[in-house]
Amino acid sequence: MNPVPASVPTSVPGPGPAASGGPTIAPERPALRFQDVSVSFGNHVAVRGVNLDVPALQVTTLVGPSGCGKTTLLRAVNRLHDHLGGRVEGRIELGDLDIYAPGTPAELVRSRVGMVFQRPNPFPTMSIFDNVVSGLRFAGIRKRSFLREAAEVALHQAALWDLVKFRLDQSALSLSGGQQQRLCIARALAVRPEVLLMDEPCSALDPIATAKVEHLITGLAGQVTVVLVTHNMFQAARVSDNVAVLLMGEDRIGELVEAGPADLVLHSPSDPRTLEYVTGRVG
Amino acid sequence: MPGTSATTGRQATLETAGLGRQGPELPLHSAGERSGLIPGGPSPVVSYDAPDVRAILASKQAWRGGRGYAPARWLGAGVFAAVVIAVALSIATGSAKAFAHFGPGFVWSGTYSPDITGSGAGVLIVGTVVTTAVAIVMAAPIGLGAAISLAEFVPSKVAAIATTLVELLAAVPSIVVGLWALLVLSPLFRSHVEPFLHSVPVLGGAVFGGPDYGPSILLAAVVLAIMTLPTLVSLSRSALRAVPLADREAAMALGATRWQVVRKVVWPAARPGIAAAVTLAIGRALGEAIAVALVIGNEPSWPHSLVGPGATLGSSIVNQFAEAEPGLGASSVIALGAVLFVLTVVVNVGGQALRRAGRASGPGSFAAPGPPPAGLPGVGTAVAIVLPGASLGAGQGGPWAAPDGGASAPSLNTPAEPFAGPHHTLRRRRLLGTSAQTVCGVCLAAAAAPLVALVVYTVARGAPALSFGFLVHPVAPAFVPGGGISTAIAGSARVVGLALVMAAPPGLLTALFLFERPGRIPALLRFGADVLSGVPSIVIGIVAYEIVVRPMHGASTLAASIALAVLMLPIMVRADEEAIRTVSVDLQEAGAALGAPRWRVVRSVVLRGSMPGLVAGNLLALARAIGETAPLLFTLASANFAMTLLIFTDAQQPETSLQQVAWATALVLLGAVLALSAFARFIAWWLTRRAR
Repeated sequence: MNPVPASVPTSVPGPGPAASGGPTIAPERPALRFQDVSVSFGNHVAVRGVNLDVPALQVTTLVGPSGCGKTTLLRAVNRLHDHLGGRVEGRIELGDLDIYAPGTPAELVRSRVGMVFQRPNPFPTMSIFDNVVSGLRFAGIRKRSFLREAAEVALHQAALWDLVKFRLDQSALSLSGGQQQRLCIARALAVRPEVLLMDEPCSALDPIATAKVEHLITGLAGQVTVVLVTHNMFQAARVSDNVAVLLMGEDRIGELVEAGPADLVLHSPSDPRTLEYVTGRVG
Repeated sequence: MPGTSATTGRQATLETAGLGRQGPELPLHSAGERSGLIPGGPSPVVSYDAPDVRAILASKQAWRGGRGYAPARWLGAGVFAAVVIAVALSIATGSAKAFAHFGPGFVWSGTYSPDITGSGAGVLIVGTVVTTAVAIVMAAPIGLGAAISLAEFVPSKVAAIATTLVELLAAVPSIVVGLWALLVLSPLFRSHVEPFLHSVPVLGGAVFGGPDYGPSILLAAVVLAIMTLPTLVSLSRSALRAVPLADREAAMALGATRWQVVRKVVWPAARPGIAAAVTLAIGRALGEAIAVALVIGNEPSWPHSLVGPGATLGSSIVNQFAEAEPGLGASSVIALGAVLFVLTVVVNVGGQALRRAGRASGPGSFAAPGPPPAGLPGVGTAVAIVLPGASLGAGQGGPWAAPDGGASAPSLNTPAEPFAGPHHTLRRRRLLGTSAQTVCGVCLAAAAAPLVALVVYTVARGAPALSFGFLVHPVAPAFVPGGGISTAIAGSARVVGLALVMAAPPGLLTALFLFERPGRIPALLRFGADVLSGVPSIVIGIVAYEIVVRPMHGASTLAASIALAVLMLPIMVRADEEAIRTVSVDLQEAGAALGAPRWRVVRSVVLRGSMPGLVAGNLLALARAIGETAPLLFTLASANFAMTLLIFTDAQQPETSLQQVAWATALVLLGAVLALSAFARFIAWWLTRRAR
């Protein structure tokens, strides 16, 4: 039922721009592998036929115009369509785990995949500390010393520790928007996910807060695999190691058009549609 | 965009008035320029006969008029305030004689009895509180479980239908519940439930002692629980659903099970709303008089056993007000009403305070550390490995680790050693979640079962007696067989219709007053609305008797409809204000920016936009009023002039023929109320759809 997509089934094995023989991409196994993935809601297909390997410990960015299914694809990784009636076909592998295998519990997938949402969404009824360790508490960990240490690590990772270390028991809502978003990043990192999904994490932030979060994202590469969704081409250029371009096909269904190292895709794309999009002629 | 040329005449006028910058090809544009409304635009020669908008506007003087708007609002609010004050005052003056005679000890001392000597409300207060407490202890867990099930676990399509059903069932009149409880539950209690409770060890003697009687405190509590459940479920469900999806997804994305999402995120955020729902349920249970009076046995004595008869404030008023001697006797019944009034107002106002406190208080500080969970041996070591590297390296962006560096550095987030916690506890957590979901599902079934049984039973018993003749013949005089209920139907319609006419205009004007004015007076009025909506309907019945029936020397349709209007007024004020507030500020400002005076913005933007909510809210208030019995008890001359009263009197007769009439009337009443509520929802849906 799935026509062969016009997408370029791209793992990203190709040699990078290879300046200084440096960052060769992708160790043996990708952190995340999409195989012919389609997501649909009822009769409406949102995105189809995505084949993509996401290299471990790098920042991979999904770019594309609004409505092309970036966020839909991202949420599929965390099985966040389960409760909204979305149907995911194809296969998504997280390391050695088949995310949509019948026996795979969604909670298991989600505890191995972190997610940062478009708008900061700290739990309003919890303190800063409780927010950070909420994932660990969900996992059944109650040991206080463990939670404290984990919270400190995560807050350091999110560059928030110095700001909040004396007010850990204040409401999470006492933070500014950008700080709240970094708190959400810390919360996601506290469970030490293999992959961190970020759905336009800066879209609700001002430029200064955006710069901080972007700085954070680049710093996270090497520690965790980051998959970022943005429609901001400049942001993609600033933070990405790899870029995957999703565009809407003729029938208004999102497709993966091209994927590869950021420099290559953004500056000399191989697909004409990508060139059109990157230079601003579509979307 | 030239696409806007598909405008109606009215919109075109608006465009000329201020939105004229649509495009040069629109002739309206030049009209706007000519009238000078486009700033900086030269006045070009107009090549056709365009209307001079400015002149028209000037002649129409659109901003004049509506002079009555503000006074009307004040008038409405004044009427409302007068009603609140009149209710409070008449209770105070009515009960003054009794309080003067018995002193403040009336509240706590002795047993109230019609023969006055040594009267006091003490036992009745205990009876009321015990009955309500037992009812809430039964209703709250079931109701909240059902609400959680509806809001979180049941598939959304099923939940939508079930929620509508629950909201419809909330409109089931208390007299119908009372009838069912008296004729069906009570025999069942006598023959099965109470003997069973006696046989329970320990409790059987202490709590459930005494002879099997049927009518009892426990039965009354069950009736109250059944009556409060729909409201409890529907309000708690709304509170739970109001928690943003983003919060749920944040928790889910962290690996929480569905139950954990509910328990740790949704429940804490919804707690203020749920507390308010439970408080409202308590208030309703405290004030219910009619259904309780039918099944509690009405014995104003110290309650020894839950299965023994008792009495509440409300049930005593029902039973004794009519017989009370004028003067001290009547006054002391009113004093019971005063006590009940204070009780419910305290609960309602306390509930509001509770809600505010819940909203204001931030999160708790660090939770007390529990014992380290068993079965997590790997965790400690995992962290020991993680910590040093992480807290050092990850700080400020850290080393911009080379992509291949990650593979060699084992410390941080190597997928090879995933976090051990979730996997170990997942099975247990999921099991817990499944059990919790099951329990909530059982609660849902338990909440629905009695209401469904009640409706089915009413249909089964009432339908055989229902015929065309039954509907069109007048109620037969006592001891005359046959007859119908046409006079009762007509009487109900007359009373309720008159009440609607009296209550709707001041209700809407008061809502507009609250909407237009911030500050102290509206806060006072809202407090008044809270108080008035918390006043038990039986107390409103007494008030109407004192204010209308006594001065007019006789019960009348007018007195009854005044009582119902007082009952509907606070409901309408609240529903109307809620509906009005749904109209977006942007739209209002758009209207105002076009130069429309406030009254016109209100008329054509605010009221039109909130019409679905206004109509639905008023219809729901109407549905509630049709099912009321208590306010009519002392204000209507004959039971034959209202369906609810007819049920109330006929249900208590031993003749099966009269009970048959009661069932059939209950079926008609139930049909009317449910149809009206369903119609209100339909109208709201239809108007909303048409507006789009």
